[in-house]
Amino acid sequence: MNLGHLNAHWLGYLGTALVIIAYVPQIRHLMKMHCGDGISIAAYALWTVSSAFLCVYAIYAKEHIFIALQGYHAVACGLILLFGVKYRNSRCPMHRKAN
Amino acid sequence: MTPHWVGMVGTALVMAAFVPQIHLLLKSHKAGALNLKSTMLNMMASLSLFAYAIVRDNTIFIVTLGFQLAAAIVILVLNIRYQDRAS
Repeated sequence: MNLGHLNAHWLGYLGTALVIIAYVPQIRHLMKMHCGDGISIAAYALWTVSSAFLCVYAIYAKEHIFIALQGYHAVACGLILLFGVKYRNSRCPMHRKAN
Repeated sequence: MTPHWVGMVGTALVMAAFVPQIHLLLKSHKAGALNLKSTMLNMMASLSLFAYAIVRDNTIFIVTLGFQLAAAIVILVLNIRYQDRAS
């Protein structure tokens, strides 16, 4: 695929940067507000395991951007899983009100 | 297990992982603490990474990120629809 003057690697860097930023508000809310409302424990458990598998595959395929992406993804999903389990029955005032 | 199988298992698990989260959203009709900013950024990230996987011509990541993009759009739509809604 020819993307002209755009270095294709920037798409990967951009996507990885967005993933890194994307998990910050979710993890911050869990850690700060101790609120696990709406978080599917099963989904985050599967995402953590899948990221570990895909990280191993990326290492084999020597895809450096995907190694960084899946490595970070595994850690971020693992943190959400950990705090999601810890605060699964806990709700912040805003979400307690919504319930 | 060959490295390709490791990649395929990872892809299958990514696909399976979206089911409980989408099921929870559809069942409860509320987004709860599922962060809208995170969901939006995840969707944009999936779009960019899907394009990158196509450029890299890596089938495993094309399938994984293509599915991830589709599922991220579904979660984003449901998250917007069920924001702060009482069950």
